[in-house]
Amino acid sequence: MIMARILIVEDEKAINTLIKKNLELVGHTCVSAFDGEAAFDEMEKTVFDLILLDIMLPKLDGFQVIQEITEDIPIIFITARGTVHDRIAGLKLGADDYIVKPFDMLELQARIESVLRRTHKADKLFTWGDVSVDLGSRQVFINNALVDFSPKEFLLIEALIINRNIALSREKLLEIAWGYDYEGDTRTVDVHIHSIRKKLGWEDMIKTVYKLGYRLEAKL
Amino acid sequence: MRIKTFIATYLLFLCVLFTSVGIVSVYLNNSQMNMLREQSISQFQTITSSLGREIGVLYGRSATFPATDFYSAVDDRIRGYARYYSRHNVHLSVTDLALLGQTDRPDQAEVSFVNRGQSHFIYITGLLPEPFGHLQLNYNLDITENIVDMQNIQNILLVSAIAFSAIAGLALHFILASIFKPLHAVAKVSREIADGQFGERIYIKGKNEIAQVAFDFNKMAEKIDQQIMFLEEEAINKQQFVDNFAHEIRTPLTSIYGYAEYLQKASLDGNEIIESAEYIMNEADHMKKIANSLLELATLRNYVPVKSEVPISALFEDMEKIFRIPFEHRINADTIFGQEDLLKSLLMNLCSNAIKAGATTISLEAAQQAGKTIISVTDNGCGIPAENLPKIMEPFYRVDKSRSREHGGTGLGMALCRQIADAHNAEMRVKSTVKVGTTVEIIFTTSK
Repeated sequence: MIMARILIVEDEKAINTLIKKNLELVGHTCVSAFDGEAAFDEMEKTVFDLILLDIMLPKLDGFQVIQEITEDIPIIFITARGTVHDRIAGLKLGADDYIVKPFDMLELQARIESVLRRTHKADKLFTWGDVSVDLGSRQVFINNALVDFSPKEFLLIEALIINRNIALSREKLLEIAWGYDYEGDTRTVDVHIHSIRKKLGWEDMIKTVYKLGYRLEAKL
Repeated sequence: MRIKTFIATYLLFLCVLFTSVGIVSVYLNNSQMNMLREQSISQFQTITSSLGREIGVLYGRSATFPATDFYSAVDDRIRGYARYYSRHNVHLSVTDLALLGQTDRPDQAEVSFVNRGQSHFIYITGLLPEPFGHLQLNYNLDITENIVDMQNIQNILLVSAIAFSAIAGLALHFILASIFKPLHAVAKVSREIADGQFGERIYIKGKNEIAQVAFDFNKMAEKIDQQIMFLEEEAINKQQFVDNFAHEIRTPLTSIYGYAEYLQKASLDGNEIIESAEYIMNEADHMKKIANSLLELATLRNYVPVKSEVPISALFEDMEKIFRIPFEHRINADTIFGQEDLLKSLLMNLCSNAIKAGATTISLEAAQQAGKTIISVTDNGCGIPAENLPKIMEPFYRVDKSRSREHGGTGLGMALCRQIADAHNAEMRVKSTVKVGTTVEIIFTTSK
C-alpha cells in the first residue's frame, strides 16, 4: 500500500500540525503550508497526491489557490464556513470533497482514503508480513492463499487498515460494520476481532486499547 | 367616507334648494292672487260707484221720461259697461233682487275664487249704492291667463332648480374628489408602508391641512424607516457577532478535541504526549482569554467608573514596565479624571495592538485642547486600510481576512477599548495610513 504525499494548507498552526500528525500515523507523507503563497512554493518543490486546503488563508485564500492550480491534484477543502453556498462554491471550483471544522480525525481519514481511491492514487493492496489485504476485490491472503473472511470481518479489518495506528472505539467499529442503528452489544465486535486475530496470526498487531477499542499497529 | 360625505351634503343641499323653491312659488302665488283680488275689488268698486251715479242721473231725468225709457236706458248703460269691460276679461251682469223677491241682501261685496274646468275666475257680487240697493252687480273676472302664467313661472322655477341641483351634484362630486385625492394618496402610501416599503413618501403641494398631514406623515415614515434600518443594522451586527464568536470558539475547540483524540487513539512517545498536551493547554488558555474579555465587555456595559485624578506620567511609565520596551513620551497634561485600572487596560490594549502591527517606534502623547484632555498612541506599524476602519471596534473583527491568531489576540481588544472610552464619556478616534502607521486618540470630554 503506497502512501500518499499530502500538502496541508492551513494557517492555524495547531490544526495544521494536528492534521499532519494524524496523517503521518497512517503512513502518509505530509508537508505543511501556512498561507496560499507558501502552498505554491511547496507545490513547485514536490508533486503531491492530495491537497487539504483551508479557505480562509492569508495572502491568497483557498478559492484563489484552487483556481491557480494547473496540475490535476485532488483537493479537499477544509473550512469553518459550513454554509451550503460555500460548499457549492468549493465543489464548483473543482474540489473533490469538502470538510467542515470542527471535524473528527476519523472522518478526515475516511474522506482522504475515499478521494485517493477514487482518483486511483491509493494502492488497493495492503501488505504486512505474509498477510495481504486487497481492498478492491475485498479478499485476504496469507502467502497468496485465500483466507475465508466474513463480510463483517472484512469491514472491520478494512477500517483498522485505513485508520492504522489510530485506535478505533468499539462503538465506531460497530457502526462501521453493522450500521448506525444496530442495537447489538459491543461485545460482538470483540468476538469478531478475536476471530480476525486468530485467522491472521495478528494477536500482537491488533492491540486492545484500554477503555476504548482496538488499534492496528503497523508503523512503516 | 367620500360617498357618505357626498350623500349627506347633497341631500342637505337638495332640501334647502327645494324648500326655498317651494316657499318662493307659494309666496309668488299668494301675492299674485292678492294682487288680482285687490285689483278686481277696486275695479268692482269703481264700476258700482260710477254705474250707481249714472243710474242716479238717469233716474233724475226719468221724471220727464216714461218708466220704460228709464229701464231701457239703465239697461243700455249696463250693456255699455259690460261691453267695455268684456275687453278686460270681465263679465258684468246686474240682477234686480227686488224682481226676484229676494229680501235678504248682503251689505258688503262678496269675493270668491271659482274654478270651472280649466278656467279660473274671481267672482264678486255687491249692491249698487242706495237708492238702487236692490240692484246687484255681478262681477266675474277671468284670471285663467294669470294662473297659467303663474304655473309657467313655477314650472320654470322647478326645472331650473332640478337642472341646478344636477350641476351642483356634479360640482360637489369633483370638489370632493379633489379634496379626497390627497387622502387617497395618504391611504395608498400607508398601505405600502404597512407592506414593508418604508422608503415610500407622499408628495402633496400646498399649505392646507392635508399637506400638513402629509408632511407629518412623511416625518413619521422617515422616523420608522430610520428605526427599522437601525434595527436591521443591529440585527446584522448581532448576527456578525454570533458568527464571529462561533468561529473564534470553534477554532480552539477543534484543536483541543483533535489533540485529545490524538492522545487517546495513537500510541505516542513521551515528547509527543507533552507536545500535544501543550497545544491543548495553549488553546484552552486562549479560550479563557476570550471568556475573560467577553466578561469584561459585558461588565463594562452600563458600568459607571469610580473616577479619581490619575497622573498621566505614571500611566505611561507603567506601559514601559509592562511591555519592557521604551516608548516616546510627550506629556502636556497632568491628570485624567477616570478609573485607573480601566485606563491602564485601555492603554495596554492600544500599545499591544501597536506592537502586533509591527511598529518599531510607539509614542504616547498627552495634550490639552479646548479644555479636553487628549491621549494618543501613535505607531509606525502596518496601518489599517481605510475601508476596514469603521469596523475595527466591533467585537472579533479582524482586518486580516484569514483571521490569523498568530499574535495571540482575542479580537476583542478594540471593542474593549471603546467600551472603556464610552464608560468615561470619552471619544475614540482612529487615523491610519497603510504602511505608515496608526494613531488612536482618546478625547476625554469631562474633567471632574
